[in-house]
Parts: sequence; C-alpha cells; structure tokens
Amino acid sequence: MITVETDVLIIGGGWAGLFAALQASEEGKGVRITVVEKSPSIKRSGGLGPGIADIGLPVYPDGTTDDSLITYYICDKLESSEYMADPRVLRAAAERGHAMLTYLEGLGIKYKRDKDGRLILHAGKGQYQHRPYEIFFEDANTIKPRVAAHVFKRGIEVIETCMVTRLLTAGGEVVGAIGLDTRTGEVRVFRSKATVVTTGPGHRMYRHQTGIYWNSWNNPFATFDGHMAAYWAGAELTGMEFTEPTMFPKDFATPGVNPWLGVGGYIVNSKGQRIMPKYDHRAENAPRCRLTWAITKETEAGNGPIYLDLRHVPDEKIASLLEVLHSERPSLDLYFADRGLDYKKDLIEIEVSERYGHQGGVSGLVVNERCETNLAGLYAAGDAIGTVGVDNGGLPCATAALLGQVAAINAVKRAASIKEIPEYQPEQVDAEVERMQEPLSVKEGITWMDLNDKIMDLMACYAGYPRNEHGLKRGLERLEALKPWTRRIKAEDTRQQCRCLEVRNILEAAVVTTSAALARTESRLGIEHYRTDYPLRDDAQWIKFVIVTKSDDGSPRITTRNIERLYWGYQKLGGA
Amino acid sequence: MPVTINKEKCNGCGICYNHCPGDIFKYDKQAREVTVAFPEECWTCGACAKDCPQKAIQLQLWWKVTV
Repeated sequence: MITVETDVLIIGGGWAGLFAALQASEEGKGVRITVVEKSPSIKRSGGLGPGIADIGLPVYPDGTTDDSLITYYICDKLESSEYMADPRVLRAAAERGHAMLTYLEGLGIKYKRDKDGRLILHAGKGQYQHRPYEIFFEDANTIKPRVAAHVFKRGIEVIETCMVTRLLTAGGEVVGAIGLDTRTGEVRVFRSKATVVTTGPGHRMYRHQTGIYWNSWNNPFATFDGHMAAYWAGAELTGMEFTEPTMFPKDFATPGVNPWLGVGGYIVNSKGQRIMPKYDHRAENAPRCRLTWAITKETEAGNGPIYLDLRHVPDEKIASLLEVLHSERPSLDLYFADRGLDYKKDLIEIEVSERYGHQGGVSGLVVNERCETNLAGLYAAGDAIGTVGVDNGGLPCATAALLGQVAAINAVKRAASIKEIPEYQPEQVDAEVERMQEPLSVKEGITWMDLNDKIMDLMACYAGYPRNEHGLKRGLERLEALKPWTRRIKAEDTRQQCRCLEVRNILEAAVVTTSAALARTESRLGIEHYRTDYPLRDDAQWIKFVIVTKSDDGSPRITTRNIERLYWGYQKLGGA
Repeated sequence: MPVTINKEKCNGCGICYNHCPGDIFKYDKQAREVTVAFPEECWTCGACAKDCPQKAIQLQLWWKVTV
C-alpha cells in the first residue's frame, strides 16, 4: 500500500480536473497538487480526451464581453435547463468566461477566426441564433494533450491508472481518498487537506441502442465513481432523476449533434416535414432535451423514421462540419463511408440514444458558487456536479473548466488554512481494502458484465421513458434484488476487479436515480424525466432540487430544496 | 476488430498503450511489441490512431454499425 500526501487532491484528470490543477498551481507557491486519473493518460482521458470541437463562452466576435451578454448566457442556460440549476453557480462560471478566452490562448490553443481576426461564433443547442457564443477550436484533437502538457510542465503530481473508490473522512470532513492501481491492483491511500471531485458523468446504466457494450455516446469508463465515493462519505447528490439521451446516427453512438445542427441541418420526418418548429421556438437550436422529445413524439405519432437533412447546407459549411466531426470522432467518417452516405444527397437516419447520468451538470454532486459540497474539505466541478444545468451546446465544456478553476481557488484557500494534513481513520482504509478485494475471492459467481447487463435492462425498462410510480417502485424492488449479487461478481484479475467495482457504483447510482425519479412528481426536461402519472411540468411546485443522501442503512434519503429564482424576470422576456 | 495495428508501420514506441483511455492494449517493452488485448472494450474514440507517430493504427467499426 502506498500513501500519497498532498495539499489539493484532484480526483479525475478530465477537462475539469486539469483546469482545477492548473488553477491550483497558480494560486500560490508551494501548494502540493495531485491529480489522480483512472485511465492511463490525462492526455486522452475523459469525454473530451479524443477531441473538443467547441466551447461556449459569453464573448462577442471581437473578444469583449459585457454584463448583458453574461446575463444572457446565464438566462439561456437556466431556460434550457428548465431551471434545474443554481443561478449563483452559473454566475460564478459565467463571470470567469471572458478571462477563459485569453487563458486558453495562453495555453497555446487557437480559435477559428475570420479574415479580420474576429471570432467566428455559432449558435449551439439551446442558444438563440442572434446571440451565438460557440467558439470553434483549431486543431480540435490536440486540445486535451496540450492542456495535459502544461500540467506536466508545472510539476503537478499526476498519478494515472488509479481508480479512486472511496473518500476518507474524519470528524465529518473529507481528509483524503483510497483507490487501486488498475493494472497492478496496488492500493493507494491519499491524504489531503482539500479534495476536488472531477470524475465526470456516469455511463453504462442504460441499455445501449446498438447493443454493443462499449459503443456508448460518450466515454464508457465514467461510471459514477466520484458520485458514489462522495455519496458514501455523506455528500448530497441532485438531479439524478434526469438521465440524458441524445440523438445520433442510426445504430452508432457518437457525439456530433451540435455541429450538424449548428451548420443549419434540419430534422425531418418520413413525410419530409421539418419537425423542430412544431416543438420549440428555437427549432433545431433547441436544447438537447427538446430534440429528443421531438424525435420521440414524432415517432409515436407514426411519422418515423426520423432523419437529419443537410442537403441544403452550403458546401463550405459542410467542409467545416466534416473537419469538426473528424476531429471529435474520426470513427464517424467510417460510418458514412461504410454506409455510403453523402450529406449532399442523402437523408441521414437518426435515433434517440441510450441515457446516461447527465453531461453538463444537471445530475451529480451538489455544489454552491464556490464549488463547495456539503462536506468540509470536498469540492467538485465538471460533469460530476449537479447544480449547473444542462448541456446546451458547448457550455459544459466551458463550465467544467470555469468551475474547475473555482473549485481549485477554494480548495487552495482551505489547504492554506490548515497546518497539518488531517489524520484518516485506519478502519476506513481496512474496510475499503477488504471491500475492494471481494471480487477476487469469489469462487463461483457471475461476471461483472452479467450484472451490468441486468442493471441496464432494468433501468431501460422501469426508469427510462415513460416512467410511472408503479414502474419506478417495481424497478426499485428489482434493483434491490440485485444487491446480494454485487458480492458474487467474480474477478480473475485486476482489470476485472476494477470493472466489478465500477458495476457496484452503477448499481448504487441506479437506485439513487430511480428513487429520485419517484420523488419528482412532475415531468421535466422532455423524455429525461417523463411521468405518465404526472405528465405536466409543474413550475409552481417543482422549481426544486431533489437531493439524495445516504442514510445509515445505506438506502437513499430524499429531501427537496427550493431553487433560488434569480434572473427570473429576464427569463420572462424570452431571452431576446 | 475496432482497432488494428499495422505491424509493418509500428515501431513499438508504446504511445497507444500509454494513451488509450480504455487501456485496451498490452505492451511488451522488451520486445517493443504492442497488441490489442481487449478489443471488445474499445469505444473507437480514435486517440490511438491520432497519437500514433507512425500512423500505424486503423479504426474500423463493429460490423453491426456498418450495415
């Protein structure tokens, strides 16, 4: 067992984690910073590892900003999120947006600009065409490695191939974490003055449309690890009832929605009708949840299959689209080649994807505008948090970095105020080491994939679309019946051991999700949470977070908390 | 096979092994040989193909996706 001592521990080396690390290193000399990452490299880890096409920042083409644009940015996201966001957290991110523009350039990152050097801004999902703020990157698939290089250059300690499974607590404070090396199985205990969770969202909870296990829309290795480590330590989770699907080309889970619609693509039904104007005043610029709602409803009405139509899009826009798509996901090129599809001639059939534990910040840890959780010593940012609203366009990419910085600022402040790293409780370490080893000592059992498959089936059946009280309760019963099986998943080596530990997280997250869905007696965010028994969105009763914490017997305890109605008046103007 | 390594172009540097977010490669440092050990866990992100200095890695979609 190795012990690592540090001032600021950052769990998760994805986009948010790396910006947290860089910011922490700028907060003062002598701050020890440690980034711990499950995958082999921070250069390519996380949902944005392979490539990042764009980022949404509140700036004008000349790179300036003003209060009205920042307010607009916040209101846009609040409205797209159907108010499931803490406006103060959004504001904390938005206010740093302008500075981020030049900060990224300082890291050697370039934006697409016109011949006069002005930023080329597009409107992304949930954004109005006349107030666009999607900025596209040059060399999109080199972005994360570039940021990672800076992290290494600054001498920040980076520990890769290490999966953190639990946080360590003492006296109600978070004092560190424990994990294991994903290749060797060696246990690592981390002792820290402040801990930041930036472990990303959660996949592998719902059945994949394609039936191919690892063909998920986003990184399938993000499996609620940070959510559950924090939950077990006593942290509050929120928004877990909102599980997010997207749209993708038939049979292939991949990102790409934003660019297709951003260049002016239409979504059409089998009658050749453009469907989005029927469902949202922003048409194809509507937030993701409205797109998936529209596709679902059109299909139910018998107007499916549904297609993407890019035949009218000018050639130069198609060229820029292809460049962007290639950089984010080169495999999409293969899809089009294999199927002989041509944007200029063919309609591209699309479908609604699998769901996952939300990108962008509707579901996850509760944080305030200082990115503090309810536990002293614990901060969080990125897709692991639940109070910054939906993924509308390139905003999660922005809020992950912006709030990663905010979390770091406050984590460093805390670290500076503590003389010695607090002691951890050895019993917690012993208990977790024993729990981690369980899959290796199972003689006769099932595989992690058997159990993961079963969870995916149950969730798709009872907690997908549509939901109702009976189904959710039945789902909880059946998930409960799976609990004993978490101790009968068998691992023959370290890799399988980590997979087993991931599946245990997925199951617990599934119970939290289903419990939260049962608690929210209304519908919101389209098919993300649609209840046939409460089919209307109820803003009178439900501008609230559903908060889940772990009670002593391990079961989820549900409370609700009102969401502050800041910026409420602006929203009524319709964001013009 | 979602990912194949062209043995003629591969120089055994191990970058793919060091970068793959799914850790699906195995690397024999002595023999300077990389193999795709867990092809079923590839999510076709393309990091390996992008980062290979020899351009020795080919991505290919699962059969089910191609028809």
